[in-house]
Amino acid sequence: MSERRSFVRKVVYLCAIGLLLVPVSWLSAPATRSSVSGQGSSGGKLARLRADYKLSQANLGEIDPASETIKLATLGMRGIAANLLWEKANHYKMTEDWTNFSATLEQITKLQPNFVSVWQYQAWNLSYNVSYEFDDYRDRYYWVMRGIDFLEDGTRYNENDPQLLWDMGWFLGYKIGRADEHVLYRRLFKDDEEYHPADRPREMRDNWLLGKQWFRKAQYAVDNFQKEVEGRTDLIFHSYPALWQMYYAATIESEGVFGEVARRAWATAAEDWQQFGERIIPMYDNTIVQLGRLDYYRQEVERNHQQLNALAPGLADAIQSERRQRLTDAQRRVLAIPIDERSTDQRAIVNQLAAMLQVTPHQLAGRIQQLHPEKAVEAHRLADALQHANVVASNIERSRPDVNYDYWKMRAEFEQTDDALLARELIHKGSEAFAAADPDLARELYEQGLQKWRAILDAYPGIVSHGITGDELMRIIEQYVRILNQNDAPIPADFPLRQFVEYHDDENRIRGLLPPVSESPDTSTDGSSEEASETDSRDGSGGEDSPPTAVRGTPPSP
Amino acid sequence: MVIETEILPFWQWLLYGGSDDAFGALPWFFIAMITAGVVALLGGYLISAVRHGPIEGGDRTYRVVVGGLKNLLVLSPRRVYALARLTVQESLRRHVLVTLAVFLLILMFAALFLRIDQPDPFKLYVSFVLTATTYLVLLMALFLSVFSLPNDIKNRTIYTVVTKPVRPGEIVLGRMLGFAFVGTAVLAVMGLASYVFVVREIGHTHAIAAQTLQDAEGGGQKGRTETANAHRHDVTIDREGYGRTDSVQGHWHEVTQTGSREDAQYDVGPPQGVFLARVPVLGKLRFIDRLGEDKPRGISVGNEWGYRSYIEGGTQAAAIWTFDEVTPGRFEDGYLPIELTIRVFRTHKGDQDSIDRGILGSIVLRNPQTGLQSEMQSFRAREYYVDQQYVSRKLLDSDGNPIDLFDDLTHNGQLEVWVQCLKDEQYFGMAQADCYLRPRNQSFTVNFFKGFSSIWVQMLVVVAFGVMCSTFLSGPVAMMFTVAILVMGLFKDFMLRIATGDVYGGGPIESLIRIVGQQNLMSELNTGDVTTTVIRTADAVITFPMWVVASILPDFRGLSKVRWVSEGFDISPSLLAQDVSVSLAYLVGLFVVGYFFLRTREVAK
Repeated sequence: MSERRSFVRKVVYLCAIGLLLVPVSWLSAPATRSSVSGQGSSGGKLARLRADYKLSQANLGEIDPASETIKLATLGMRGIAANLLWEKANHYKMTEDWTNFSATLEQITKLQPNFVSVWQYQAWNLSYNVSYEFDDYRDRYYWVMRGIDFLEDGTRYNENDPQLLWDMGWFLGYKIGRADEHVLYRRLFKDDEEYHPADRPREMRDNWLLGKQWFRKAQYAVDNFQKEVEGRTDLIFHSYPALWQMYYAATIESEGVFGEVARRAWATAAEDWQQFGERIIPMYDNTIVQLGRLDYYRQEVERNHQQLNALAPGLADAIQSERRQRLTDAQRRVLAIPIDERSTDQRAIVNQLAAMLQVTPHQLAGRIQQLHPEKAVEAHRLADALQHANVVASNIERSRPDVNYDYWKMRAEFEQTDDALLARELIHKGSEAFAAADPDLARELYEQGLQKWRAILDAYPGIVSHGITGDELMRIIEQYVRILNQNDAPIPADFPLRQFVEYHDDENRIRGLLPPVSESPDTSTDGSSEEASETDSRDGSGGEDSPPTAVRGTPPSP
Repeated sequence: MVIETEILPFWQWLLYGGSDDAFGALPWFFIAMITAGVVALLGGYLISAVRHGPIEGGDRTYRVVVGGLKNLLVLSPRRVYALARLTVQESLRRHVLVTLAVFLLILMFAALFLRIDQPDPFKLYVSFVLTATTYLVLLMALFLSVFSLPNDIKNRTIYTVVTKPVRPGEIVLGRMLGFAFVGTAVLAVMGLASYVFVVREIGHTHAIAAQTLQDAEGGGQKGRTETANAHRHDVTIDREGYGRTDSVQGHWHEVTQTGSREDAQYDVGPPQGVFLARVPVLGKLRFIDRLGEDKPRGISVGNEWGYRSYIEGGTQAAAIWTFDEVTPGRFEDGYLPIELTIRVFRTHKGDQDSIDRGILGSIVLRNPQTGLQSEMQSFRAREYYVDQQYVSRKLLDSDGNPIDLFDDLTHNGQLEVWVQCLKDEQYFGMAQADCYLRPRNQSFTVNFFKGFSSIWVQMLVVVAFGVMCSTFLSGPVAMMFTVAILVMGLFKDFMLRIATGDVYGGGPIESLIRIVGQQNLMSELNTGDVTTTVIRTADAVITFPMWVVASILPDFRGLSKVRWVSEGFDISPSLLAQDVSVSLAYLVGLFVVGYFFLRTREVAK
């Protein structure tokens, strides 16, 4: 009897196990893929969820056996282990034990390879904070690159993460190209055989160009993998590839590369900027902006406005008249007060009344629907289109200064001209001559260069209203004055940038040295300035002869 | 730098201690033993008195103490040896050699976790093998020692031993020595494997392709080596065909050219500057400020780590090391090898013309009595790099007159080394151990095994604690207890600082309140005056026993000598002797305690 009961119990257990296998299999069967056909099953529920939410390591990035081993070895306590290691890293940093600091960072990232902030934070730590601790620039460069390598490792473990990709672009560009030691860093970077693959041509071993490539990868990740950009607006995010091309072009010129190479670099920058202008960029309020299409959207506003009004001519005015008639006497009296004499409260009331009197496209469409039901569909379509074009146009107007759109557009354009290329080359050669203790040649080259600058300002008067070029030109003029001092010569009467200095030299470093106006044959300059003012329309800002307030611009944001 | 505190000569440490200590180590040991003995005696008597009455209790206590002391004094070496042998056999039965297999497995896959392209891979590899060995051996010693006796008692196999004429003291000592032997054997194998691993991984050479070399100005050639161990060197070879590489990853190589230029072969030697065990002679550091006044420390430049202080450049500020016993007999080669490490703090990086150059500094040797100075030697500071200066015996003084290093610049064997920063608005930072004389090097191999002997010392302490705990606790509880001692021993310094109020955030209760209330360490507690006083009083009460416990605990971090070996400094015999003495002291003390605990148990009576 007891043997029989035991047998029955075993059979029941087997059946229960068999039954349980069904839900277990449904839940956790692994995904399979045939090595021959490439086909396979998507696995159980958990495997599918992992695939859907891109949670498996294969979706996230490279699978590293060392990382997996360390994770397993911590027996599920990797959070605690990472915390302890983080503390240890801080201690090593404090006690300046850089070898162990660096090794500890490796261990942290092996434990938590998909914790993006660790890569970002510690790469910054290496490139910015640790490198700063070293006095020798070669040591500093080593640690800058160590941070960049660290970040690049992070991009392998976290494929298509726009944050890390963007940081790569930033580190390569800014940390190497904008550090105090940028001249030395760029030289070391070009010669860095450990970092560059052997087949990368020397002209491509440029921090700005490589940084731009990483920005492009970040853009690709955002465009194709629905990844979010965190910590910066989409507008800023997408402006950087073109901006890095601009910096590349400017940097090679500062290093003495001119002619066709420089022209091509600026031409590419102009194309990149145009491409950026064409990009449809989402805004925080679910609207869009397309920086390069301001004219188009303004025309759209105008066209839709006219078409909507044409559906019921005079109706908008009639609605407004109706509303005016409904105003109280008190409201009319406030409206009648001249603008200058209105108090703060009255101004607020007037603003409120103005909003009330304004007929919006949808209000107009609604009235058309009441009066002409057959035109309702068209009226609402036009109202929608008008509203959209209006929002985008005002987004563009508001957003352009955020990335200094107009300045960079103009800069990429004028830098390609023969005058600009020659001006840069002459000034560069003048500086070299001055450094080589030949002030006469330096003066001659500078004066030729400044003449070219005069021509550039005549053609692009708006360019100096932006801080970058205005300040740069001031530095050139200051250097010219130093060269004149070496020659014991005053600023000549025919100094071609007199008015630029008068408007731009806020700190009065050069203005006081200018010869008196009566001695200056500035009539030709005035003439050219008049011509220049006629060309103001190309950028909408004051030219060189504009009043000082118009000349001074705010520094660019990027 | 590894030598942050002064190392006393062994006998001074043992008998008198340093200037901050009231006693030497030996008097402290006796004080601790006597105090513990008195406390144990009183405790034992009280318990006995409660159970058997004051007279009977006193009699029993007396008999335990007298009998115990007699027993301890008549240990039989033969029986201790037999028990130790049994312990070794038991350890082998418990698969202790698995530890070795795990260690070898770790070494095999170490390359996956360790990147060779570190600024100092030697340091990384040495600290890795020593640290991995420490953890494995200490864990092994822990598990072996805590479970052995409780298992014997639980399985009653202990009766086969105690029925023989064996004293409890012999059981305890036999266990301790047996496990120590097993640990020593395992450690020896690990040491050998680690040595081979480090030497194979770090030892390397480079190839040089003849076509990559170019003619150098003034004759000779220069170029680059091929890549090995994730780095390459710039190389300079003179006209005679001898040369050397620059220093990368903390080492350099000698290069020898054979054959003519067309069919030249280049022999690159092994790495130099690693596999070192420097024997530094440290001096006393003092400072002079910008106005020439004596100061015990230089300026703080705001570093969190206050180890180094700074002197201002372009002023009278100087760092002055005074060395003793600078005699011709000690420096037989006839020159004075000075090694200097400098930190630089720039208030500005300098313009583009000077940003690529180190800050200029100067070294002057000076007689502390006569004030006679050597001619100034200038140098450019390079951080995290040991600048080696070999000062010749024949020198010029500041006026250009010839002088003798030992005859003219030392007074009773004392010599001053003055270091100054020459650049305005820039600073040099230094600590006492940043400048030292190096009369000789010790063998790296010997030093490496000295590093392993420091693990051996720690292992002895863990075994002693483990066996002692296992005499009165069950296996798992003994393990927890020993683990707690091990962990607290690793944080002994921190516990002492909490107990003495040297850390921010207050004692245990105050810091708990701060954590729960998310208050920072620096702000005043916002619990009200009365409550704060109560909290701090309670903390003061808690921290006293904490101080007592922390003072008794072994300082495992102090016993570890990983950094000495990895940073290339010789572990001095005095230091090693101090560590061995500490471990023997624990062994003796814990043996006595373990004996009395075991004696109180039924099985051993």
